[in-house]
Amino acid sequence: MESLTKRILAIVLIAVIGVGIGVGAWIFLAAPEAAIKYPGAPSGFDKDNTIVIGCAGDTGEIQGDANYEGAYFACKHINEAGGVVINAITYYFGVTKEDTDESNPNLVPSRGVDAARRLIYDKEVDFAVGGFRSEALLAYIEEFMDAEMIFIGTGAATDIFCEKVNETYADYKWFFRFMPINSTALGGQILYTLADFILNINADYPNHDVKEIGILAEDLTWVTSLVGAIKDVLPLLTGGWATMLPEILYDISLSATDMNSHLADLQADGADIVIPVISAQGGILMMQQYALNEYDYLIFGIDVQSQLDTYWDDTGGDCVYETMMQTLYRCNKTSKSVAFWDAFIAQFGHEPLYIACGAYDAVSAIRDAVEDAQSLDPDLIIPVMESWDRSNPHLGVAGNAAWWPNTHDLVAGYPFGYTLWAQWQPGGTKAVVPALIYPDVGAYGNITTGDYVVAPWVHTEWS
Amino acid sequence: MVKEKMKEKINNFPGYLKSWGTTFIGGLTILCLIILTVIPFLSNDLKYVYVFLPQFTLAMIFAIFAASWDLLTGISGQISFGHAIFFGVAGYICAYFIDYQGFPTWVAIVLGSLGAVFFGLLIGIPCLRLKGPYLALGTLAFSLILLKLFLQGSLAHIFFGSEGISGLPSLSDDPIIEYFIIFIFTIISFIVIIQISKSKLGTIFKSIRDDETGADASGINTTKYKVIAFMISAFFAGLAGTFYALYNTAVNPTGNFGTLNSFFAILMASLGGLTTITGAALGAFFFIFLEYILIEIGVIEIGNLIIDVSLWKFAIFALILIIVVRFAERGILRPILEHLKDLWDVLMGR
Repeated sequence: MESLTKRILAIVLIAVIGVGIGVGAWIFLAAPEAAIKYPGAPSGFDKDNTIVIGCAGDTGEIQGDANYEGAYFACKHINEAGGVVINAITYYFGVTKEDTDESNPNLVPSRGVDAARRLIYDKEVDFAVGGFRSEALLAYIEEFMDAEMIFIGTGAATDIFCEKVNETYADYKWFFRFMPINSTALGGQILYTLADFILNINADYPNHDVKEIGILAEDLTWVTSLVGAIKDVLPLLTGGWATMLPEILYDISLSATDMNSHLADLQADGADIVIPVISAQGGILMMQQYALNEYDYLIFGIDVQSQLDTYWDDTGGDCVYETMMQTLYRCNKTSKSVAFWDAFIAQFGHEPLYIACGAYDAVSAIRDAVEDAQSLDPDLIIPVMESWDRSNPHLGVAGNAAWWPNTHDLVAGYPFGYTLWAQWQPGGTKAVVPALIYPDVGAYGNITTGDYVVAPWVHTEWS
Repeated sequence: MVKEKMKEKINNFPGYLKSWGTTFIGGLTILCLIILTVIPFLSNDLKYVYVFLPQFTLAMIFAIFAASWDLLTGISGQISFGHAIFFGVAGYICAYFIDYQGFPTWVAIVLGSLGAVFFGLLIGIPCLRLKGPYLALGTLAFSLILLKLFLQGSLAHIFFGSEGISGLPSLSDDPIIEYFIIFIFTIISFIVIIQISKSKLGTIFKSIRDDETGADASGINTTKYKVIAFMISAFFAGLAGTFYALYNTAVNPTGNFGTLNSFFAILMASLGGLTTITGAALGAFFFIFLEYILIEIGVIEIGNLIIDVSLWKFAIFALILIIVVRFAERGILRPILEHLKDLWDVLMGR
């Protein structure tokens, strides 16, 4: 009898565990309606008539959060403006996100792949935006392409994505790059700006030849062609005036001591200007050591972290006088830029990162393309997006988006895709300084907001 | 004589299988295999097929990887903290032959796995003089050197740089077929690894692990067998590495060579239970599905309180692992088996 009771109890236990697993699986597999937000949509709207944007990015990290914020903000504005009408039916925009964990230094590519699959097959999004780290995006982009879903890149600069569109259009035609311009074009804009900067500043200091140029870059693939181009072309663009010092490629896990050693080497080599090519945290170390030791050269180049409004505090104000590329700052880059900038800060309490600008423009572009195509069919939407060329660009907050035929890559150069040059100035303010690649006053008003300031200890040394 | 023995074994196999199936372990194994065979057909919901099912595929890939580590470290006593070397090298070789040489996928998988064996030999020989923690550090150093080499943008023309190789074909466009391919290879790999651990070779490995001096004194060429252990383990780690590369359709240094991969193997095998081999599978499934569940929970809203579990998932994940390790020092396989055995006995009326 006791044995029978035990057997019954065992069977009941197994049944309970089985039911528990079943219920758990059902909960996990149920459609995650709550995970999709419809900011700005009127209450009671028909959820059958929605267009859902999937954000692929590293949530919890600045890049992924910026991507979601940009997309969310665009959806809000679109919905508040009445959504989009397709064949007499009003559609509202929804936005959702999945964590690709791509900012993790210990990258696990399968997490990005799984995140892409969740967006496509679980949340059943209609379009996707995102991507930041090339090697992660290279893995999960395939999921979107296999699903024949339009994916707009908002963070990765590597040329390879658009090269794939060009080489195998049938397989990659759903990919478009909205932000930033590709690394080769970035290189070109840096080169022209630097050449002009070197010649101008040289004219300001008759007692000192500003001609020795150093490069301090993180040793990653994306910098390779850029550093090569700077070394080869910059002397030519300055009419043979500039002399390139041996470049320093550093390991991204370097310490403050390592960084200081590199900066001291550049000083010892007689550098007048140092061009940083940095996307990771190395910039903070660089500026802290630079300010601490007051090295006799200027810092003028790429330092992605320095675009953040928190950078001043992150460096304890040591970033002062650093000048770097910045996609957007509060200026009249386009007619929409200033209003977007102010509204974004009012909404989120901080400045938009370039990825946020890209995501905002990407979602706005999707809205316009859907309206023009009067369809959600990618085969009808792609030709509309491809029609945005130099003669017919799409006006965004960060530039006029126009694509080269067959590559879906942004046309670079004023007034299309171009970068601003911004300098951290005393007091923690930032100014968009004059640069060769854009006019002081553009088609939409003032672009530059201040003059370049030479670091005082450098000024003293050179005078 | 050998032929006759083989013939006898083959003739007795159905009987052996029948009697094995009635044992607790045999019955449990068959039940698990039946469940894993049925799982792909339980739903045709897109999320189920494209999101949930691939978690099993991923878990099986890591199960092979963790079992290969258990064979080298648990069975043979050669502590490796750089197992990602074989995992990554095989993935890269496979990707290279598919993408740059146009080789068929299966040929590339074989070449990738053999490439890992070659690296097993290459690393096994210099590491022979090292023991215990020094061997662990030696293998870790090798893995870090390789990672750094592959990460150098300035060497991108040789090692493909931080972007690696992308656009690879997956094993199949159909996740169910992909699942079954990996499933079959997982079964074969586990049978082979378990049989090795139970064979004469396995006994030699264990004797080296337990008392290398004694094994040496009894005439065992420990040098030779340690290299063999490295090579066999590298083969299975390499096989898992090629499958992982094809699962992601891309390879890159941090994703395939990263130290984290080595620790994944160690964690999974240790979670399951060292020296058990099958524990590696349990550890891998536990590991992958714990992460999956935490991702699925997402945001919890209780009134005005909003807890975004997704932001804390890795911290929660680590905390759960610490708790599990604290209360199951010898892994979770043995206590689970003991409890299941009790349940089995009750059900059998024993």
